[in-house]
Amino acid sequence: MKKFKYVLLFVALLGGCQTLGLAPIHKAPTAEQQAAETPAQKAERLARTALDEANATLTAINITIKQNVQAVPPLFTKAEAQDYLNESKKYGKQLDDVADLIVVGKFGDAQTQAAAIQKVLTILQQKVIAKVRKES
Amino acid sequence: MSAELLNLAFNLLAVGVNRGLILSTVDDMEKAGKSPQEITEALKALRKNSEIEAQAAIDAMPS
Repeated sequence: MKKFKYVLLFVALLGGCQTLGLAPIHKAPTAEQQAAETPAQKAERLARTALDEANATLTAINITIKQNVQAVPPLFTKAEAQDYLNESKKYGKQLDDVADLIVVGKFGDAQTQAAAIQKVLTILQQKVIAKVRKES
Repeated sequence: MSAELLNLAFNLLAVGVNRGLILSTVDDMEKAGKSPQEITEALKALRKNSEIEAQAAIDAMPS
């Protein structure tokens, strides 16, 4: 039983890591595609990838909040869940601003801001998971 | 085996599975020939929808 738990833990961590942090949201362009890109196209692609990554992370966080609220019994108090979601919504608005930067062609700024938000989201994600761990 | 460690693994997996579903959606869109702009818009819509659903779940909790 102990061995089984270790195997289960390994598989769970592997699955979690694979989809959490290691799998990129977009496939990397081929060498031919990269060679055909103009500098502006590359800058847009990088900005858009950073934005998409952050939006995906935030969506996953929101889904986790919902799942933990709907758990029986709930894994958050109502106030805790609302605090997490309020923080999530705040970053969501910032990502909408990043999208506006891409629309006007400010790809460098967009990429930088999206990457910074992604780092903060990683911390929020850990907070949500850690809170669940403490109460379990 | 620490129960806390096992719990953490499952929580990580749950978050990972959620992100995995999103990655799968993006993959489907790319295979369907959607433009990068369309995919970005779709991810934004997905995020906004997840906010609405999470808020509805919280609103349904007893005070």
